[in-house]
Amino acid sequence: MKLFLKTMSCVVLAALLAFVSGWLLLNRPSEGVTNGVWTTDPTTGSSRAGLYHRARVAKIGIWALDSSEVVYFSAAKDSDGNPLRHDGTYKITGNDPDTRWWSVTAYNDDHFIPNPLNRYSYSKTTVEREADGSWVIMLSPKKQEKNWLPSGDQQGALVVSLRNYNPSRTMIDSPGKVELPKLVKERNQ
Amino acid sequence: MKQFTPWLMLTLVLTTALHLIGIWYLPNYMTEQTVEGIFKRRGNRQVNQIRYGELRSAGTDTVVRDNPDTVTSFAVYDVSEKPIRVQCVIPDKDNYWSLSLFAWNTDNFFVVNDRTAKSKEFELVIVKEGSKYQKHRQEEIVVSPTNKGILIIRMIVTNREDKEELSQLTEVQKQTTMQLIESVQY
Repeated sequence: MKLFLKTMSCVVLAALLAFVSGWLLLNRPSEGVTNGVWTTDPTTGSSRAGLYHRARVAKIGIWALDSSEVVYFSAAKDSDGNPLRHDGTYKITGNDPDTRWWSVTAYNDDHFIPNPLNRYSYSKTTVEREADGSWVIMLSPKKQEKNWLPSGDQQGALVVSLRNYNPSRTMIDSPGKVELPKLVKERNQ
Repeated sequence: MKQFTPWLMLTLVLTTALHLIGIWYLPNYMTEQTVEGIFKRRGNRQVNQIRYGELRSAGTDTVVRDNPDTVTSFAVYDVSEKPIRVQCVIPDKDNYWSLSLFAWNTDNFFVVNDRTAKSKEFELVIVKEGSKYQKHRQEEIVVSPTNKGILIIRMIVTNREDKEELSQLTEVQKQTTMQLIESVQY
């Protein structure tokens, strides 16, 4: 009986430790490639992905395509390194990434953010541009004049995703070196 | 202290084993959970049948970090008994279109898009590993690493407010079909 109790204690403790260590490792930021505020992992979606990265992607972006088809960048922090907040206003500025089609989408806890406009993203084909072809997307809980991407008023993790469909060879091979949009918090708040 | 050493070792070995099994199994579990969510929402649990989805909005985005700018068709396939033929039709527009296949552990093992496809209409046959299925005509054979897997067709909508574009795409979307090849025995 004593032996059985000792063995069961080991099993329960091991299960608990396995769960906690797994949870901690999966919630750790990705160790992929960083480019400004953006991170990506070239092995996303593919059989080359390691055990942990595959599990992480299954949790936050299941059925992602291989990077030869789509390069997915995500940003959870602003240019100062602070986590994105629902009550903040952020300027996402840039030119078209080197890809066939791109989009910038905001998520709360990995789901669309409810808003009266049903506006969840801006893309190469919907963004209103400046005279020189560049664009500014305003991520904010408050209505903005142009390209307003609502960030809502929820509690939860705010993340911005930048999808690049049919990316250029340079973006596939060197995602850390291509020009990507800047994501800066507005100072006058 | 010495008397605890075997128990400590046992706990460490068990922790490592359970941790690795859990991490390895998680993608399979997430596939099951997400498929269950989609089946529940659409009220249909049939495999080997394409579900022609619409644009998703807040509250209807079952899949995590979904793309709000795609019209998506989805199917769970099972090639354990017979191969499956997918007859694909690509919209006659320059919108991104792709058909992708995922193993049950979420690995994307096959993708073809509107620019890599040989024509606007083509056939794909999904078979299990070790299959001796004979290729017919112009069809393309794809070997699935797992008997069960996921098929996703994504079509980019250049503007989700454009009802006409949406209507044209959903019209073409429904022309892609899949069926088991009943006449073939593995």
